[in-house]
Amino acid sequence: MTPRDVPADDAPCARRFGRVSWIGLWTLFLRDFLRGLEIWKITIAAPALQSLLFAFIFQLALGGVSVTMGGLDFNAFLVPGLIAYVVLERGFESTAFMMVYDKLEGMITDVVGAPLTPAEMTTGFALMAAVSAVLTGIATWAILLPFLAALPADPVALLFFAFAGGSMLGLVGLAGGLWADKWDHITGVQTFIVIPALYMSGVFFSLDRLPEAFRAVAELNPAWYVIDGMRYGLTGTAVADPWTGCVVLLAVNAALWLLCWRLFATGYKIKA
Amino acid sequence: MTDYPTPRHIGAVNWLGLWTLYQKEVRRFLNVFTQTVAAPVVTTLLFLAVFTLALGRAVEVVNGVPFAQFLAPGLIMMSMVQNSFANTSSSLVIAKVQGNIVDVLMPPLSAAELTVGFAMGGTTRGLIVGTATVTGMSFFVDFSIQHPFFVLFHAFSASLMLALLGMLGGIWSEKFDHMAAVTNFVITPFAFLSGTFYSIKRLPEAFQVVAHFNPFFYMIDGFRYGFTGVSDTTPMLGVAVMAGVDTVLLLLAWRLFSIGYKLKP
Repeated sequence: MTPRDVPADDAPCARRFGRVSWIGLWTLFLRDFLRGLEIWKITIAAPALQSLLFAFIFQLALGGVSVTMGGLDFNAFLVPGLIAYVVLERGFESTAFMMVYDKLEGMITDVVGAPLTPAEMTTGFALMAAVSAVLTGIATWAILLPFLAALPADPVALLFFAFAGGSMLGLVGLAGGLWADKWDHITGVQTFIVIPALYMSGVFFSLDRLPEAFRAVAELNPAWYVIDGMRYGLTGTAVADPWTGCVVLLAVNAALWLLCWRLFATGYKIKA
Repeated sequence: MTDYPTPRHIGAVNWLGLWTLYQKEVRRFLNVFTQTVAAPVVTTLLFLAVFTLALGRAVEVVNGVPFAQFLAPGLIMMSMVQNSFANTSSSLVIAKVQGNIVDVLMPPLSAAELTVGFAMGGTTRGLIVGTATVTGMSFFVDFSIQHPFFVLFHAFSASLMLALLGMLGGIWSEKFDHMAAVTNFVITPFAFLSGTFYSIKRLPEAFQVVAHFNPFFYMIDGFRYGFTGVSDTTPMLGVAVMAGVDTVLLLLAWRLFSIGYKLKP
């Protein structure tokens, strides 16, 4: 062995990662999490304020008539719904808009070119979406305290459902963002699919208000389990068994994770 | 000898220029009509569904009008004003950020022509969205029009007012963030809280007085009066207020264009 073959300790060599590139995963998470945080007026303050507006409007529109909805006082029903809505909406936007922006600006190469496996990319984006969504949810919960002054009945369940919901819509947004070729496509997905699916699944009214046929369809919507589950976490009252919701959401998250993983692995629309 | 080039002669009004600017503004939003026309229609129908499903049993009539018929004009007005505002404000902010505002400032267009061209573009979007929303809603709500004059007047004057406000906002904003803040924290709350969803008689006395200084209240109330024949205030007062506010805003926008506020160095 000649001395040449033995690398000196400080010689450059290929960088090694373990089974998981933890630093890469953390960097990807932080990059997009901070991007959202930097425009907090749009990502946190605006959704919280909009929820407050909704709460006011329903209050005034009801004009003091007392209403029970899904076994709860109307405010106690509405507040968890509004929080769940911003969580789901923020989860979707955090990945969808970021992905379309990066693709259109060509910045997606920063992600594709980094030493990250498809699994790490998918996980990083899903976690980023979930944490961003929960953060917006907490701000909304705080601003809505005048309408429902109560601590969560089951904080663990509340956090779980918020986290699972944010991650679920984050993965939907990720798949949508990968598919979209321009802004028109992704806002189309948002306006014509995501928002109607959320509005009609128990944010503002309990599903027994819907005609029978619609009701069956609405109960198939995984977002309904998030909304119902968060309502359970906040008030202790729910329609579905929380454990059923838990299983459904874990399964849906797993399926969406696999879909996004597959899209990244094949480089769908992002690799030549 | 007239074969040498002479300056182009434009009369008192540059009709061709005005028409071109107007067409640019209209084509800009029609090009993405799924975002600018179809999306607001769907969103407004969702609001209708959500509110009638959530409150329809508890609140059957407002001011003697069935809840859905009370709500529908408010929602239509809300979508019209949000869209006319979005049209002019986004047009100006995008042009400023991208630098292509010079395409509008350089041509031989006077400040008055710029004001009218942009304002009519935004008003057109408001009216198209309004018409589409009425059409969509007519499948679910029994419309009857009691006073067509009030419907048309307020549809036009409100779209114009918000188009002008959008111009002022767009001229003032230096980046998208500013514009988004104006939309989220000023326009949306005004559009939501000025009687779209409830009669202002529900408000405490003091707020009712404040509401009478809010032009958004007059446009919603007057538009609703046109459909239902029931009003929270004197209908002709609303007409006067809207005409006055539109005139003031027109003059203000014209003034900003003529001094080149934040547009010319």
